[in-house]
Amino acid sequence: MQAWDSAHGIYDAKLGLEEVQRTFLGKQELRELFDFSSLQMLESKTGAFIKVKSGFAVIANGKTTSNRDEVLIAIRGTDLISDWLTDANFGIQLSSTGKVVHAGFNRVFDELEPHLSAYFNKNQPTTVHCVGHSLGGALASLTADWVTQKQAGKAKLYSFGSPRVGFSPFATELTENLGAENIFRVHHDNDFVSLVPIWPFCHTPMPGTSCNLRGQGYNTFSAHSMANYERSLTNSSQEWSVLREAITPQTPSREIEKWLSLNTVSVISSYTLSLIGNAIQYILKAAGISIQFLLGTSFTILDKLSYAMEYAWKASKKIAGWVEALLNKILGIVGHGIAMTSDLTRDFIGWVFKLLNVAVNKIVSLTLKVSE
Amino acid sequence: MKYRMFKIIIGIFLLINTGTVNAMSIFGFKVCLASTMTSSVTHDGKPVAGAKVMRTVTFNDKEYITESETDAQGNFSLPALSDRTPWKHSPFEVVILSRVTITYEGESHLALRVSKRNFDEGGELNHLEKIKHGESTFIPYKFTCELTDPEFNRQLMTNRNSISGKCLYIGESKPTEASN
Repeated sequence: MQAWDSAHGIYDAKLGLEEVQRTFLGKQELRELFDFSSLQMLESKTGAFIKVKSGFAVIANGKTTSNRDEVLIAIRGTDLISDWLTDANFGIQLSSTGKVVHAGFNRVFDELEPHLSAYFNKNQPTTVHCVGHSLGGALASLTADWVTQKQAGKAKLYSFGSPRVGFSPFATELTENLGAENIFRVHHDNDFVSLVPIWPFCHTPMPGTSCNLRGQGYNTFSAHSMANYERSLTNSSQEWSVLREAITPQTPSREIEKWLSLNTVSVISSYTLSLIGNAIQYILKAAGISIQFLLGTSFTILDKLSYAMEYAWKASKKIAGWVEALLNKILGIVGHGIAMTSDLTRDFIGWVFKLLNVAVNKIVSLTLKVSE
Repeated sequence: MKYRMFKIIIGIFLLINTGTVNAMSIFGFKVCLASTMTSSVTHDGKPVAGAKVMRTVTFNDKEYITESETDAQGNFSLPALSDRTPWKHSPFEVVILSRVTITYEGESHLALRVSKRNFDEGGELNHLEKIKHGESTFIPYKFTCELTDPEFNRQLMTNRNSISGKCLYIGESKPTEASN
């Protein structure tokens, strides 16, 4: 719950140093572990309050005999990032550690990075706890990656309703560097933000376990709120070791083929989004297209996906059928009644993916609309 | 017909223009920014009459100020504060800062400071979803303030929110550690 307290409290950073300090000083369990009384605007040995154009962070030092060498970094983003997350043509970038990540998150992290460097030049902690909710969770992941690469300490990552941050190499390397047991990802199964961006973006830990809470009774929006994460965690009243469950393995090929072959219209949901992600992956794999193809940063991910899908469509008659079925499914989901023609073009495929993106992003941008 | 169209156009024009000046109060859903607060105020155990009470609520870079005064028995009340927002039904992380100060004999005291994280009446101290499901009992927004007390920073177990100040809600035991 201390991780929840950190991710919850950092939202008050918008109110300024004094207010966020008061918020953290009110959080009993947390203030017994970390020193929030001497946070400063400039990074110092006693803790820091970082304010950049698109986010905030608080760095607090451990204060008990057992955690004196530990540091807590709580991070939040502003709603500016929701524009980047929901941009139909979002780009990808190489992170500070050279892995493919979402360009929007990376740009915000670039703003935070000089402040983190300044702090860690003066402090050499043993353990760095990186915490955030939603976009803050994405930034916490990039921070944990940076801390590990800079050897600034042993990072532990705690996220609530975080979107996916990078491609599989980012997820697997971060998992390997931190150890899956040091990554605590909490999410409601129907929290839309934790389902975007869709594949090839992946969650950490990979492989590993996450705390998948049942969001029954919550709508798409309320499943993302910190208050309801607290309620679900309190109600579960179980230790992390019990809450952890293996991340759902990929949907079996047979199920994907069955879903694609059914001539029914699906509605937009967390389940259909994960099916679409799995179907894309399945089709590209069947056509022999590796993820390496998507790794370059010169084109947008949608452009590359369209190109790959067109290539897959030409690969064989069987795969072409799946591509057409998938596009039909997406058209059905977004409520578009256009019948597929027999001649697929890259532009048409791109247009279909954009329609899906727009539909998903309408939901996500509403969910992410952060109070300013 | 032409005259009717003219009236509609003028109506829309006025609506848009007024909306630009004060968009929050015209459009959107009514939301609670601060709940009705009542409190008794004492100094060394004696009721304080005529003390100035001021509540400052900050939401979306806008400040709302409400003033009151304690009566002969040392009681005051502040009415609920509401406004309109289009985001009521998309629960993004709301941050509404509410500070209540009491000025007595020239000295200002922080009575209550809370960052409200929802649009619910009584949401400062409560998690209404938990109350609906019988997981928590409703704490009324009623307080007692002893001005010689220190400012307490503590955490509510109902919604894990932080609250600070000299006011204690009815039934709350005095925190042992002030932690300023």
